[in-house]
Amino acid sequence: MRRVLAARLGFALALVVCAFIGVYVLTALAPGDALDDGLRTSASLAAERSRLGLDQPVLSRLATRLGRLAVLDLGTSLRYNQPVLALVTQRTATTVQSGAAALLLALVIGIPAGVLGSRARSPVVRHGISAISILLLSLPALVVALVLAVVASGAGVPSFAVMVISLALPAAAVVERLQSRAMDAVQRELCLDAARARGVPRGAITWRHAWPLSLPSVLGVVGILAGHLLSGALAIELVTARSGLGLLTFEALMARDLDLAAACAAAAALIVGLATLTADLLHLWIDPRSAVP
Amino acid sequence: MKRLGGVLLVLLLVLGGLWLLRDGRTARRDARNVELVATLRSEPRSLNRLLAGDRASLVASQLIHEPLVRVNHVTQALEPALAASWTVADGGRLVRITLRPDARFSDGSPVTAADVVFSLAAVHDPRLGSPLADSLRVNGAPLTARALDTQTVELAYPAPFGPGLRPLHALPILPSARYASLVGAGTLAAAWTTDAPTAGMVSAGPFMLARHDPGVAVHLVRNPHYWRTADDGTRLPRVDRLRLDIVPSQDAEMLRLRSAQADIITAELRPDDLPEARALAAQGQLQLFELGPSLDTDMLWFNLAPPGSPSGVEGPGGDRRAWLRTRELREAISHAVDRATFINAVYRGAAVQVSGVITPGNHVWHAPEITPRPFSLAMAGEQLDRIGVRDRNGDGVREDIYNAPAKFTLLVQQGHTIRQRAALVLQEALAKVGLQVEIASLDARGLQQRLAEGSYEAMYHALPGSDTDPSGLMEFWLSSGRFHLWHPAQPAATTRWEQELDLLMTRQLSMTDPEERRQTVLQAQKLLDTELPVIVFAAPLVTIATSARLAHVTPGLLAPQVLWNAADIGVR
Amino acid sequence: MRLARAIGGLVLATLCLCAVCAPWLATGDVATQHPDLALAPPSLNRRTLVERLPPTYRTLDERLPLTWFSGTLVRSADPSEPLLPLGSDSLGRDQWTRLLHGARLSLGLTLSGLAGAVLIGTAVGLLAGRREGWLDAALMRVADLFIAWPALYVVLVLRAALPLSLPFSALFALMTFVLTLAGWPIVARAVRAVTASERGRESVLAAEAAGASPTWILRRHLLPAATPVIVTQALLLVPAFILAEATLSFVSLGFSEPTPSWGTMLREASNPFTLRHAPWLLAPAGAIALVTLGVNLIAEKR
Repeated sequence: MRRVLAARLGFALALVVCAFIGVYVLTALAPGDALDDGLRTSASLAAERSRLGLDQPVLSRLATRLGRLAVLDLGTSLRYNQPVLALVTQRTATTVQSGAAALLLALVIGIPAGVLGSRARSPVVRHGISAISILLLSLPALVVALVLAVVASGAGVPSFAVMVISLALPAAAVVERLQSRAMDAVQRELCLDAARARGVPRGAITWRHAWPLSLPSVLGVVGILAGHLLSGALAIELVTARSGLGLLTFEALMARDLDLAAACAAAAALIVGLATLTADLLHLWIDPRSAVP
Repeated sequence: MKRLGGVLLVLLLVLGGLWLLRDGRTARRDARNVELVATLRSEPRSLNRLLAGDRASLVASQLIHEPLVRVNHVTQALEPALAASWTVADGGRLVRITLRPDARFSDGSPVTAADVVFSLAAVHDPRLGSPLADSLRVNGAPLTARALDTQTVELAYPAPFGPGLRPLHALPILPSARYASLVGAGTLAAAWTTDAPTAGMVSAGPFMLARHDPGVAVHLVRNPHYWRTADDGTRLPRVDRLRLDIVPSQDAEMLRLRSAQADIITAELRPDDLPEARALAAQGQLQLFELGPSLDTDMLWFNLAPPGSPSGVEGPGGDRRAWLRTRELREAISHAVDRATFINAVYRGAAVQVSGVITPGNHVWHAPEITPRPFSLAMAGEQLDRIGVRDRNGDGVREDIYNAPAKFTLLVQQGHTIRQRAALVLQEALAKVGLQVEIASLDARGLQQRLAEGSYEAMYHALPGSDTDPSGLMEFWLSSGRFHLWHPAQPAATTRWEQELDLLMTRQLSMTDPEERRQTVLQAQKLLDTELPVIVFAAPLVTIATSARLAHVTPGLLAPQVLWNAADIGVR
Repeated sequence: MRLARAIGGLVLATLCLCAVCAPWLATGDVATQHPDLALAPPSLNRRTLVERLPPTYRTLDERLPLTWFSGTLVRSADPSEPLLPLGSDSLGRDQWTRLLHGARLSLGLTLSGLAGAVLIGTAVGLLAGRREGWLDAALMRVADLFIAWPALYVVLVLRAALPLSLPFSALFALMTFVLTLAGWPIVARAVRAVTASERGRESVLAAEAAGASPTWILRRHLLPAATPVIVTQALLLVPAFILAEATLSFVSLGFSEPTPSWGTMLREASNPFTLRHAPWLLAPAGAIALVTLGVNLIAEKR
């Protein structure tokens, strides 16, 4: 178990380095010049380029950067003129804060709603919950964010709340759908019939017996969902004006800022890797029969 | 055991979540006591214009530093700032500037001639890599200055220079006592980043840096030693504090303006926002300023570089796309687009027709003598017939002389609503004349790259904004310039009319008589109108919106439109 | 519930029928612009623009002249006064026609992307979950790589490296490829989780002890157990793919104008002020909701 955990952590780090290298190379391949801001002449551009060391071939710059990665020197961002590590750390903290709150809200809303949507006695409740989550699934995150932002600016609600809610609602719908279908799928388990035969009350069957059985299939996707929530959503950040990792990644890419773009991708890969690892560990804790690779 | 663990986990998560949500809310609450709130689209890369040229740095630098002379954004004329007066001698080669005796830096020390000389010399320091260096050169040689006494500076120009002192509006004057050693060591940039200690920032502008919240806002406080006073004698700046919020999109800016969380936004209103803004102004929440036609206009141009040249496109099997480079095609396009419909569709009617690169918004240099081509589908068809592009098989689409359909790809900037809409309108309009346009979108850097490489057929884009004086656009006018859109960076002018254009624009730089300069630039504009390398359609009418609680707001067309005179703005 | 399945089937069939018969059900052209009628509300009566800023319209006394069954089901007889059942967008183009033609693109792309993602994801998930070992770990790590990889970068570089104008089929194939790459790891992870739980079952162990071949166990035990999960994932992917197409268009790997698709139409609605004045621009979101509803109803178990 400990060996497996160490192996997974090692792999997560390898994933981070892989994402770093890949995005570095891809951004370098994209046409466009990081320095050209439309103000300088070609001569001063060339001088600036050689001063910053940007006229070296991409692979040698990558090698240098990877070497410095070991001491966590991620370079200076061309676009922001600040050290990359500080910039990415600060933005990631902002994003993770709102992402974690959104994840929590999504789980708190989605899981009970999913269980209710599957096991509630009244068909009105069941169909109502399904209808709401289908509607939320089909609205793009951007539209939800915009509608909320317009409503919120009128009512004086802080932008943090808008961001959290507009991230959480579609995620809650996904969780609800997963959970309710998983609950439906486990109803045929023999152990549940046995419990019913013993006279266990309906509520206890639902929560104490059926729900843990349904969790593995939910956890598989919740890990990915968590990763995406925690690594920022560009459109929502634009509307709520909360500068986070998503916006930073996009701006770095638009400005062809290699160091910053690669660092952002590495940060996002780290977050997603940790989220999926946590989900897998939870899966192992709940169902010890399935070994985590 | 597992149940207990599960319950504890859930409890922990819920508590953690509550803590997170609470944290977000309090962070917002204490941000309401600042007096003036403006927005920036991105973080400033540096607080000194000497070191960085992006928009946010420009705005921050204008608020923190003071130059010798300043451009009044309303009249577009030069005004004295730190320089009280100046005299020109030796046919424009020498300018004697007298500094203001009461001008002080933020630490109380007086602004002396030595500081001016130091600042000008620092621009040309190669280790700094200053973006200002190119604008403070004449014929490739830098401007130099020497101090005659503590209040007088003599500027020496290598050759007579038409714009005169105008390029100096960009130069911030720094105290030499404090920064000479830093420039010597090459570490000036570190002293002016947004995270540098505020004690190390000494400048002569209306505001000083108080604090920087990374990614959120830049807080400025008033400079107690600022020299300027208002007409009624009030000490400027009128407000004690100015906060620059970082808001990355115009939608978010409009939301903030609407909910009174921002007083001033970065840019003018978009045509789609106008109805809402007018309604809010009627309610008394906003005040609007109509400034007339904008200074910038979007342009359509074709890649005129001949194939085989560095920026030309290699065509397969000979040059089958030569018809794209003919003047008749551009004439036809100019005739085929109804400007009135264009304005209605793209700008919702809030634009005026323009006929040249220099729009009516540019008071001094606009040429009203140049009239646009009339809208006439017949004349457009005639021009196309002349180059052999006609509809040979009656399907409504013209074919060129090789019987291939008359089609070309138009590059537009992705995500830019107005330009995308304009491209669609152009596509529809040209379809009526039998030309097929395919629209491709790329981001701004990709577009720039294709422009430099010449790997495109047609583009709909605009020049980066600059000063109203044509000397700011030399990269566009000269054939060797990087922004000579249709054929950039030529080693020598390839066509006769480009040679003539080069001559005219080089000559106007060294003319000191303003009327003579104007006539030369007029000739250049007429040449551009005859040859039509770029086709212009309309310039939007600029409307600026600020919150209603501001007083003494004097917006102008040049960016930054409201904050250029931030010292004068007061709160009711 | 059979009723739910029937309703779902009916909804989907109607939508598919509308998409297929789009040229006949349309009320105009996809590309014709009417700048004077920009952001016009849905109308069957005749409305004329009175003032451009803000857009205000006035209803005239006469009704719009209609022609029936001439090329399309119904269209306006006057080419300068179009019939706008769902209003118009900011360039005055008929939303209803664009919605119908956009259905073809969006639904077709979603179906092909879904097919690819489900096929590859199921195969990988089953392979990985079948037996504990290095293959399981390796496949899941590859899936993690694909999940963590910021897809935006791949698309942006693809766009820049490709020629500016691509033929329609190439673009469709490319977008299907991107959607498949984005979707398969999610399906694979879910399938793997269920398969890993299933393989410890007594029935599977018994079958193995009785000498069943791995293929038999895959086909008869693991695949049926994984089917509900696959279906759930597919249902979740349907709206996600339709909306992903909008993101792809945002980074310009979409169909070029004036080809409409639901994603590009939704981008028009992304300006908060346009949204307040013209809520009919959200019609594509309603269509996406209908598709999602239909697909979910069909897959109802109870």
